[in-house]
Amino acid sequence: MNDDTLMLLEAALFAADVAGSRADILSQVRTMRAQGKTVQEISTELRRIAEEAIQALKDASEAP
Amino acid sequence: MTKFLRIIVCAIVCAVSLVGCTSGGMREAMYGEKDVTLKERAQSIINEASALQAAIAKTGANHVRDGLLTKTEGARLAAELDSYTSRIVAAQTAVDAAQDEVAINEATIARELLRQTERRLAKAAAERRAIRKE
Repeated sequence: MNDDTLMLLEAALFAADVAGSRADILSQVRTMRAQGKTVQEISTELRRIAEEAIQALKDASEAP
Repeated sequence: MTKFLRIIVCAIVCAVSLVGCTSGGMREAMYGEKDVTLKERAQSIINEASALQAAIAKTGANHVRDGLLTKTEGARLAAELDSYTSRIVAAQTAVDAAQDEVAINEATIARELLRQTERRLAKAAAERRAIRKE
């Protein structure tokens, strides 16, 4: 496998990772809708998920 | 690049693009197939921005743990993602105040900035591969 291929694969895999996380979150939204949660509740929950994820990134970046 | 690998890369990119149609995906997940109002459209874009922010942060945290991103890069990414929060919150405040156009503008900018961050990180991942190879 040549370098160009590896670079393309690496970029595509990163994008696929993000897309996978996004798909998981969309699935959570559908589940919340099915449970009868309001739009406001879902939006608040999404903000909480985003804040938790950023905190996890900070924690991982500060871990020894 | 072999034909087989080109197909794999194209398949991944197509899959990403399909999942990436997420403002439609989020709108459908939130409101089903019906036509949405301006307010609902604004809320969909806000939620999509939050989802993208979370997805990038989760991927970033995994990459830091796997050693694909340095801790400094991870901390920088966290600060960058944090900086978009005020724009998303401003968009939510505008929706709540029935300023739908303002909300759409703010949320669209936040979402575009997040997409740029995502593209930059993907490019950086590829460049790191090249550097490691050297």
